[in-house]
Amino acid sequence: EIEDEYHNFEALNIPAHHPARAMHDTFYVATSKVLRTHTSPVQVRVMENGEPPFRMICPGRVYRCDSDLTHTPMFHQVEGLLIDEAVTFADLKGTVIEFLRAFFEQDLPVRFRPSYFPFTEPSAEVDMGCVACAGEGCRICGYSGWLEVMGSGMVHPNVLKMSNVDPEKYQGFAFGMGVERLAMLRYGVSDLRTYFENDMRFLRQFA
Amino acid sequence: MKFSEAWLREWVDPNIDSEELLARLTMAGLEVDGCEPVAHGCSGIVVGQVQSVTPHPDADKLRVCTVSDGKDSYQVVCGAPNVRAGMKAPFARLGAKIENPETDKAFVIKAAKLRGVESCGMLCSAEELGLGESASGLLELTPDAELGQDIRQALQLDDRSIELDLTPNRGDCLGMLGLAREVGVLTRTDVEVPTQASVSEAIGEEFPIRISAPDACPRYLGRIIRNINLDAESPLWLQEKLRRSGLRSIDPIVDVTNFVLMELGQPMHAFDYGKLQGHIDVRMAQHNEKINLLDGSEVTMTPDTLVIADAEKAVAIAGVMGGLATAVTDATTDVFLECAFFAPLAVAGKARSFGMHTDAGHRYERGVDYQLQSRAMARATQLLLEIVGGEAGPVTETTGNVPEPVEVTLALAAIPRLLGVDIDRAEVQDILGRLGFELVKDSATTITVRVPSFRFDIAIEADLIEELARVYGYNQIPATMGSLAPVLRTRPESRIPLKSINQQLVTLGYQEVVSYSFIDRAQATRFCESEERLVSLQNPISQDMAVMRPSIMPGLLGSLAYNINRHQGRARLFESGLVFAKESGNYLQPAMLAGLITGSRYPENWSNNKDISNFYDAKGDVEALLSSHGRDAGYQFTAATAPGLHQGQCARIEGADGLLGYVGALHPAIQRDMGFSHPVYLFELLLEGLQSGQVPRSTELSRYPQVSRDLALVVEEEVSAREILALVRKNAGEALTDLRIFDVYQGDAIEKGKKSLALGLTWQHPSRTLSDEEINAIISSCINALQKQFNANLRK
Repeated sequence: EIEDEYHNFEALNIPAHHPARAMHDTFYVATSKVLRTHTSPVQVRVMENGEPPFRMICPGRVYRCDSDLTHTPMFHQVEGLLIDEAVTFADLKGTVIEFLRAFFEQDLPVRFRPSYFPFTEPSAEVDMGCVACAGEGCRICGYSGWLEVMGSGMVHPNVLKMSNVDPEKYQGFAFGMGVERLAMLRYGVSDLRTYFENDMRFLRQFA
Repeated sequence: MKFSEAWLREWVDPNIDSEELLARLTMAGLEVDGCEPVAHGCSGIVVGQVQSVTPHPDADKLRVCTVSDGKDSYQVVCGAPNVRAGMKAPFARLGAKIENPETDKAFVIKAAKLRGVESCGMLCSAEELGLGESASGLLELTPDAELGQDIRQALQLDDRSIELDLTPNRGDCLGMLGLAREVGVLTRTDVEVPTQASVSEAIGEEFPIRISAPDACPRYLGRIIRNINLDAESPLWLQEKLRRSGLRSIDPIVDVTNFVLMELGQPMHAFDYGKLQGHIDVRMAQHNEKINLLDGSEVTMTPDTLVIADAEKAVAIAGVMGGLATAVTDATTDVFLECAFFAPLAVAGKARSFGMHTDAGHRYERGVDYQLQSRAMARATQLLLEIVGGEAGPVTETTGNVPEPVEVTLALAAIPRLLGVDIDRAEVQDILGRLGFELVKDSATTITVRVPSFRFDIAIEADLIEELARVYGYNQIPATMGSLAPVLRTRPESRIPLKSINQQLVTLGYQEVVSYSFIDRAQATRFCESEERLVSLQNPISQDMAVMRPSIMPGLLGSLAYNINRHQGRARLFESGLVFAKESGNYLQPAMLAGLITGSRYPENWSNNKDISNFYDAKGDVEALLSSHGRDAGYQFTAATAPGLHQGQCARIEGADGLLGYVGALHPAIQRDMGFSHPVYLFELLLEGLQSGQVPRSTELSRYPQVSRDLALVVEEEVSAREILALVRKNAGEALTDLRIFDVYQGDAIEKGKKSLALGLTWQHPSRTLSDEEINAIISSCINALQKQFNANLRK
């Protein structure tokens, strides 16, 4: 969880002066040693320490210097990575859609929306039909009918190259989701901070 | 990025309605964040003309006016200071309604008497229509406004302001020009880019420009405009376009530069020419060079900051904000217009490092079109001459190291290989062409394009494929799972999954918690071996979360405190996760499992057992964890000390691979400080060790009878049970299958300072019956050994 800047940023194609890298979001332990801001560094470590193909799921704690009604300075993410010889964007879609339907036990609508992450190209935000209002529009989904649940995309060739994977031979996808967010949507927890108060009466609801 | 839909549709007007337009933008990666009407809902308001104005007989501030709507004239009482005969203004006739979005009620215009004079209608200010805060006078319309026309048509009040949340790679959409281009691509509609007429130069003067930092400033255009009239006001159409883009009208100069910013995406700056000395030099700042900025702040710069300077001093932080000394004021008569391209890296981070965020800086750090400056300069000049008059000089253009256009080759086969769907060549060329990518060459299998000067995010083939995918539509791409042929991974049976350990604790009556990895320094110090090992955060979110936890115990204690304050006196909590320490410059992050118990042993129930949990409850739970999964009792518990724990009630746990962890009572001083009325017992174990199990090896069961004997010993109270059991085991022979202490007694029947232990021994030999003589001999041998080593005697 204490990561070096290289694995948290540079190896993921996020260079020093990138707008996506404002210092006020990252906790620093020492010069160039940070608390990881996402679980994506694990993709790099897996690729550096093995040979393709790679199939990886990695849950863990992540940290961002942000604290308000919808943000806590520490939360959890689950990272997925699949690198092989013929993995496509269509496979990313299929995998993610299957997962969301299995997790929510519903045949819900899922859409992919173009977005931007430095470590994927193409990049996509994944939205699912709001489970609270079945897509009609409500407070939870900001009246849009859609909930943003994860970021994903095809791993950027630079990221593969930096971790010694040949982008001419291998390609694949990665995704990352917020655990608290998914739990909030599945179990109806309304306040993110509740997860870290450890009130036994709350915890017992899940015993 | 906020924009007016009506303005967009002046440039590109696809045959789709508002809702569809917003949906298409969102699904192309330009996420619509919000959308609001540009004015209050209203009806019955038309363009009116004031025909006459006479003073009100009974009120100094009111006037009696006649107003025409093109058909009839009406008497209207009006209090606005700027009302005058001949002016055109919005006229709300009787029956007109204005909605107030805050109260959701409509205000209806009725005939009224104002200080005794009848008024049949209302002339409106901008504020009343919801067009901004200025209520200081009537909203004056242009003389060519069509009398009687519905004001909603005349001022395009059905327009909406749309807010986009643009990703950092789409700086090209931070202006109407780029946004219209994008909408044109998405809807395959042609864009009507207005042609920019060239400006006539009335004077020949030029102000010299020098670029000392050619990489940071590849292009700088300057132009002098003399004899402007700052009494002029920005026309309504310009103010409205700015307002609908989220910008306030300030003065004509700022308004024009802001307009060009919004229309073309080109930031510009105007200096008071009279205050500039000598020449412009675009250079890096000197160490500790200071500048007073437009927002009133004074900033000290470092040599990595690009500045615009004149012969004497820095006059602006390039691309971010202008200086105060050379700012345009009411007294300015001549301006110097700047229109430049600064390299993104020269501006990136600069605004933020000075604690500011500006629209100009925002665009430069994402990349401004480096071929746009001439056009923007002409546009700004044209608008300024129209509004404030003046005489324009020629444009002085100086270039540094202008970026070379980038060419990218796309192999058509790469599209299905990456996306899983094929897009045919004709469509590929159409999409790329509309996006502004010029075809440079093509072959049977490839297309090479030149990246336009307004895209800074396209460098490799995958970037082009992303453009194609998002315009084609991510949701048009099929969803498959072809690559997921199942692969069975072997997970060693000897490795105990964390889930299994967690489940065991739950079954033992524990509840899992998740506590923050950062805690306050005082608590961290109590639970670590030495303060030098603590890992501190340089920028903690708060002082009580400033140090990374050296142990999970503080988090458990914090959770306990939270619950005790809510009348939960009995708790069994556990948590697993990393703890942190610094050792010889390295960061150690071992995974640990920690548990806490306190309060009554059982939840309150009818059997009325009110026992309080004690050390042995915690130790027993640890032993339960350690003896699961085929592990034998190869663990030693030895009295020890550990940070944060009670010196007299703490044991170190050791296994075959070394230290596993500790179990003990919370140090009474900490218990007291934290206000816990019952003692608290904690354990913390290395997860690595806890997860090392064993694959079971089956041994045959013996068919022969078991023999059991009891042994009651009296021994000094300090002698540990572990030592006694170890000695007995050593002497009891290989056939010993069970050994346990089933009673411990201290009291009147026993000598003070001693304790009585009752041991139960069981033997079973695998291949024969054990004889009484053998057993008796073993018992004697044990008793002798115990006597010798511990001075233990049989209890009488």
